[in-house]
Amino acid sequence: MSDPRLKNIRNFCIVAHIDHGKSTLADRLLEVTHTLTPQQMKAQVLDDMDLEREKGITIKSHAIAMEWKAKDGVTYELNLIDTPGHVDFTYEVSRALAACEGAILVVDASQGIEAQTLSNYYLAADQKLTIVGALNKIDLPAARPDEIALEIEHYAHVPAEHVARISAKTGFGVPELLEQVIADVPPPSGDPDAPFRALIFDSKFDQYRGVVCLVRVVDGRIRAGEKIRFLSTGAMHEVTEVGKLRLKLDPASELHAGQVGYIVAGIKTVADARVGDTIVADDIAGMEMLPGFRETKSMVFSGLYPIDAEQYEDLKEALARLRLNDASLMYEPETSVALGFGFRVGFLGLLHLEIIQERLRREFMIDLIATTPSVVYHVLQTDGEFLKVDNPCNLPPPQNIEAIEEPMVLAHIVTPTEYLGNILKLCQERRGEHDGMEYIEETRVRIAYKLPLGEIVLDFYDRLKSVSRGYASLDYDIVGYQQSDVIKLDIMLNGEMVDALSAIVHRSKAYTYGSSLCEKLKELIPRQMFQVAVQAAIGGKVIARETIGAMRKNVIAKCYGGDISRKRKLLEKQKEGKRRMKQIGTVEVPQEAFLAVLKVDRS
Amino acid sequence: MVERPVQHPLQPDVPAHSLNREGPGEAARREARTGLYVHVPFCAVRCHYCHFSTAAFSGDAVERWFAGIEREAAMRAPLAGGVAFTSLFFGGGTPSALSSRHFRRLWDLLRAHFTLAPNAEVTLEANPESAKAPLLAAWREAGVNRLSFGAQSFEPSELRSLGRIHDEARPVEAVALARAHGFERVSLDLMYGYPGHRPDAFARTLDRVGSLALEHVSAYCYIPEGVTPQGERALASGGPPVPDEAQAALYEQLSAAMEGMGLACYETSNFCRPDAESRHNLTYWLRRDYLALGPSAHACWRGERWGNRFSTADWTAALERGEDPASERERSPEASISEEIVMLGLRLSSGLLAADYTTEEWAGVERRFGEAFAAARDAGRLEAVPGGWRIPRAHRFLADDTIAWLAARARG
Repeated sequence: MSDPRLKNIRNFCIVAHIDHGKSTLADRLLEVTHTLTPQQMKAQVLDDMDLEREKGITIKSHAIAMEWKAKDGVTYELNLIDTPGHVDFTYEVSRALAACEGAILVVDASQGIEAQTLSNYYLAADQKLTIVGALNKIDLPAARPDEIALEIEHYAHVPAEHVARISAKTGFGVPELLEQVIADVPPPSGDPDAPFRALIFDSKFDQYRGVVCLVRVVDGRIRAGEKIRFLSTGAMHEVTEVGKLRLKLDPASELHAGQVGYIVAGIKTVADARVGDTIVADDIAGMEMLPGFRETKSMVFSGLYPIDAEQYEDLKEALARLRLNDASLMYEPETSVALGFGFRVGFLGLLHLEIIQERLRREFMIDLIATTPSVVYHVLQTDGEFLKVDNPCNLPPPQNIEAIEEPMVLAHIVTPTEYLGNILKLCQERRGEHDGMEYIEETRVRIAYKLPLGEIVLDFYDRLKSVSRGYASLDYDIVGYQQSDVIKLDIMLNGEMVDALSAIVHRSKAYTYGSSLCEKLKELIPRQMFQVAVQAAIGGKVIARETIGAMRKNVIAKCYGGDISRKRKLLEKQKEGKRRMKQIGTVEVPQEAFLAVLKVDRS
Repeated sequence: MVERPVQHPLQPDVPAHSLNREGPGEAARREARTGLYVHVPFCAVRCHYCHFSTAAFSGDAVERWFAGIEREAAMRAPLAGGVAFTSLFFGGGTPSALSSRHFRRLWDLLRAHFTLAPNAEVTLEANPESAKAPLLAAWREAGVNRLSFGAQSFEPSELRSLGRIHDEARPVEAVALARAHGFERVSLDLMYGYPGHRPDAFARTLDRVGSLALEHVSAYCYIPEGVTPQGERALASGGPPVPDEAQAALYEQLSAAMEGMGLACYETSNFCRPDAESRHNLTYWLRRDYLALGPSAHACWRGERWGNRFSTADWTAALERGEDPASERERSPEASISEEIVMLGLRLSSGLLAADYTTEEWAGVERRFGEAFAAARDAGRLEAVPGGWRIPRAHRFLADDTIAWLAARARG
């Protein structure tokens, strides 16, 4: 039962499959509640990173407090928590959901339920959130609201007639949806008079304040000057500021149970204010942690090396700066024979890798080479020693290996039935084990497959999109390790092994994979002054070879009088090209070639 | 006042071993100090591959151009106070399109504003078609001591497709006539590697060139220009018009043929007998000072580069308004001076030699490129020569790759 003092608060989030209109609906909510002036309004207003807007995705969680005078005459405090939408950030999503009592489940009225709709629904249901169903884009001619409402009823257990019909784009039905949130979503429970306890659902680094913890206060109250403790680390801090989350941070005298807001407490890096951690009053002993906390675990590892060796220190500093605001970014120094000094960096997934690489390039002007991404293999050596290997170069020689295990996922794919054949084939190629199938409607099906993570982190999602013309959607969970016959495949350029290009692959695929990788490298490595042999090898035995012919011409022959502008322009262009290449022995290798592994057709 | 230039002594019989000496020779590098370029934009017809600044020929157009040259000469001459130019180059367009009366007028106009050094090299680009006796006499009389004929090819079908107005016999006659008028330095321009250019046809052209006993040949690999009829045809066909392999093979054929004629390569596209290097072009490649008059003409003077408006009409109009006709102008910072020295100097077969530059300039090159040179030597891209660096002969047709490689590794 909710404390009467909390009855006018509603905490909720929006969950949806990508492109079903989550960010647009958030924009509309801010507009109808007059949280923003029309001048402040821009698309995807909560996504404040340029990259988020460009990619149309949400990378970090955000929250914003709104006020809404409902039809009952009462003004409600509404806290909207916006969550990341990508499978790389599932844990972050789950913590943001834990800060809410309700979720608006947005489904595109023409697309219907997708893999992420379901995975997000399950996450919300796990947190026992009240689900408010909403059919979006009902203004589009292809909309099938009645059919899709039934899907929602079937899968999300919201009566079809109770599913809101809206157009986030035009704003149609949005005020009514808010009324429904107030009516259906319960006010927060929690005791404002109990000892203070709050859940961190995200944290971000602010240049002036240090770390800003985004919290949901579960019990009690908190004010500036009070001392708090982080239960996962035991660290104590003094609160310097608390407040509400509006477009900007809006300081308040206190936060109390049921409220969503922020706490600033002189914390230096977000790694010390982890998502999911519990903050308690320092002077009360024996407080229990809120459920659900876990250490973030990197799933994909890649070596990041500056193309220009002199940028190593810059890279080190940039990674430290990014880590201030991204606790899931793990890294440690590493060296490569081919690439020199760099870092082994752990990522939540491939999207996370892309984002970090892009931010390093844009915000820190560091041109990077990322080595072949790898998952973590468990290796049992013949001497009984157990190793975790996240870099192919560290795989012990075959004679020292007793067994190798690789991480597995349970993947759920939702697809129109016409692409079923293609998708089953793709999953088989990726060493998948079929694990069930159910029809969502006559023409759409949800397939479950157990797959090696190593087979899906690289290009599986792209391939899935391409074999289903973009219609299939994917979601997956890690389900443990399984023994597997994987081996190390090496790449040599003119006889010299390039450690950065080594990959761990399944034995059954080594030959096809080796030869397609050689072909791809031949495409990606430009002609050099001499012929270059590209070879794939297993344990020193060459299994595939391509030859890149020597360059024959690269000169502007003409004189153009004393006008050297054309020569200079060409030089600038070629110079830039050269700068994006890494000299490996005598061969110049362009950046893209190191990610050739992502572009190889493995079927 | 212009003194009557003295001819450089020629060595008609070159011993074979002297070809191993990589040009340009010391004398030429020493003599190429300051250049003056005059752009004569007129052409009787436009060649199908050409994108240079040209204008239709008419009495009125020539008068306006003269007025422009007069104004620009007056504008630039104060920059060259106390300077005796070591070379003067009439380029185009077709300078030979000017009548002998016009040429004398141009000559007098230039003499009134600029001073030529004793022994200055004075080159005129001529269309073989227009090289007639009275004109040759007028050029010689005035002080032109080097002629550069645009021949391009000796194959009738190729000449037609390139849009040249002369037939294959005409360059031969023009060279003979030039010799008869006392021109001891004659150069021929050739082109190779255009779409459909075959080794056997090139061999025939090179044979004809060989029979002319020339001092100098410039041979340019064809570049399709989108704005020209030939270029449009080539580009419209899609893909590279001629594979690199084919052009590289033609270049090797050219180099061998030139060597057979006693002409050594001293710059990517230029071949000559000892001491017959074009002094004027050397001022460009050694990044020395040059002034320039006329539409589209480019100057590099005392650390500043500028380029005149491209079209004759725009250039004339600017001068008529009393404005500087330059449309682009920049003061070169030290970093780009070093880069230009490397970019241009490495085209020379002798390579980049410290002795060719001021102490300051070379210090800049060393500071920025010193490490890159050493790395390039280790990578087999450069050879150390006494006092400098050069691109190995086998890589001459790949020079830009090494130049970009160096530039990407330069400091600051």
